Amino acid sequence: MERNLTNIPKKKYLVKTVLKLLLIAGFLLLLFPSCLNEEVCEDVSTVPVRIGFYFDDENEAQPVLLAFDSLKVQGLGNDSIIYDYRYNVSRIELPLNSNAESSVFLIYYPASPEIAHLVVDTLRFYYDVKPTLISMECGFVSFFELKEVRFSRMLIDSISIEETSIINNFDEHIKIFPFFDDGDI
Amino acid sequence: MMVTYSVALSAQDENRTDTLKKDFEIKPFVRLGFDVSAIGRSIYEPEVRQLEFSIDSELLRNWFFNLEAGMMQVSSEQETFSYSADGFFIRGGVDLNLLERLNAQQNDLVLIGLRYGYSFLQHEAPYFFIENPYWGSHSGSIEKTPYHNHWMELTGGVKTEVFQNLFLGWMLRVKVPLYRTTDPAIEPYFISGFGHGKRSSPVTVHFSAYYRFGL
Repeated sequence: MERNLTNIPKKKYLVKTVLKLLLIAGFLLLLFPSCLNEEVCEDVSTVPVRIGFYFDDENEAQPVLLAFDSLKVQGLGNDSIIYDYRYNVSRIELPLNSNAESSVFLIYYPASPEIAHLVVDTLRFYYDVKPTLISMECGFVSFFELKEVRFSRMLIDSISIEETSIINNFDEHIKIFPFFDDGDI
Repeated sequence: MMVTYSVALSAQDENRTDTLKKDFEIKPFVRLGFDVSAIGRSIYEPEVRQLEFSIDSELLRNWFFNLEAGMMQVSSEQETFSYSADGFFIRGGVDLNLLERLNAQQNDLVLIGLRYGYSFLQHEAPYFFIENPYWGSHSGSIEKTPYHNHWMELTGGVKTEVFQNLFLGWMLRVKVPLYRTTDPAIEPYFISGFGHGKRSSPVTVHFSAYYRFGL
């Protein structure tokens, strides 16, 4: 098929125009990351390990979230209480110690005052500390790589490690399955 | 007379066809490029400085073979940390022009391509300080350590001749990591030629200026 030579100058002009528009669009794309590059640094220096309490319901395909009436959680060797008998607790976030290779937490379950100090489980996390520069605005934070989790069995039946990398996202890292008895928790 | 006229027209069309055929010969050239977008980066991210140069040539019709290389430097000294890194990178690959060439003077290109990239850097954090309200603050330092990164790139973009032999263009790069240093003492903040270390598959846009030299 013969080419129509009279159309070539029009086509050439059209191609040039389209490419110039694409060039401008591409240049504008360059500016886009600078608009998005807003880092929010609120409280990012500590990245907690996220834990949920579950039970296996034979009628459900996935484990079902379990809520404790109240829960007290404290780090071993630290007077500060992380959760002070907070009500209706199904998920907790615990800060790991960047100055050590392990952190231990005590979980106190609801009980009468005389025996409250006995109804307690211990959670021990072993990990590698990974200092990470997340942004020039926010500086360094500690990420962690979980190696092992040990627990006592007062009320904890089993645990499941869902994610070993503890970084600045909202993933749940650990599932705890307490001994479950309908109506007793 | 009509026969003579039609024969003359036919001869003229053959000449035009011959001219078209001759216009599509590939004249060898080398095109040198410079990544202008690094200047833009220095405005919104002054701690990262990267230089990138490229060289390409059309060795087969509509197939352009590319070589890109550059250097990177990151430096920041603040109250709670100090961090520095320097490295280099190299990329090689091909681009395919999708735009129909209407004549020999049309050198505008719409390209898709593939690259293999490698970068090496050394980085260190002479000091850092991390607050931890519950367990107490953590401070330390990380000595200079090496870091290697290999990746593939899918590219797409345009190059348009704005003046004779002077081109402007942009390239979208989708990076697919192949191998990187495992379990480093510290993840790099920025990987030379690749992008931010925290992004596993960064997508970047580069704006470049080129000059073509005939051979």
